[in-house]
Amino acid sequence: MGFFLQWSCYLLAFLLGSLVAWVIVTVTIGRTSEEDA
Amino acid sequence: MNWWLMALAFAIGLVLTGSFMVGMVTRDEPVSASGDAVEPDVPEPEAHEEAQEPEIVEPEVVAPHGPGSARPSADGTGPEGWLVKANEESKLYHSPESRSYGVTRAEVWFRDVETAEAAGFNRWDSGKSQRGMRR
Repeated sequence: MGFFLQWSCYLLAFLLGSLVAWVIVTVTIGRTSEEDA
Repeated sequence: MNWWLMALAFAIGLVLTGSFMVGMVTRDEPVSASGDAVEPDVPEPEAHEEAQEPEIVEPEVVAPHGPGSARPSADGTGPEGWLVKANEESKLYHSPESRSYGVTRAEVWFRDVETAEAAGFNRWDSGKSQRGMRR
């Protein structure tokens, strides 16, 4: 596997982790603060 | 392919994005219609004793940056006669002379320029914006 392909896989994993965190934060905190407000 | 590195990249993305987003969200302070900042973490006083007298809660005057500072009311306006708008993130204030005064949404109002500077805020054109710096 080429060097760039390998690094894009790691980048993709990073973005995937980022996306998961975004979904978690948006769903949990977003709802809570709406109720609190 | 190194699966450990994959997992590490995933975890770093998760942690970085998560902490950044939580940091941004907790900064938001809901403001009630009376203009007082709502304290979300203050627990309700529990009525353990039946003979407890009802407490009269005085509306707290919130001066987030000392006397002469105030939170904006729900419509964003400040106390009567106070003209200095300030942004807490950049630590800059705008007096009516500022070109961006009209479009600036005040996070804090100050009574006058002197009060704002005493609270550690800088003039809008001083080039001392602290936006993006770690608090």
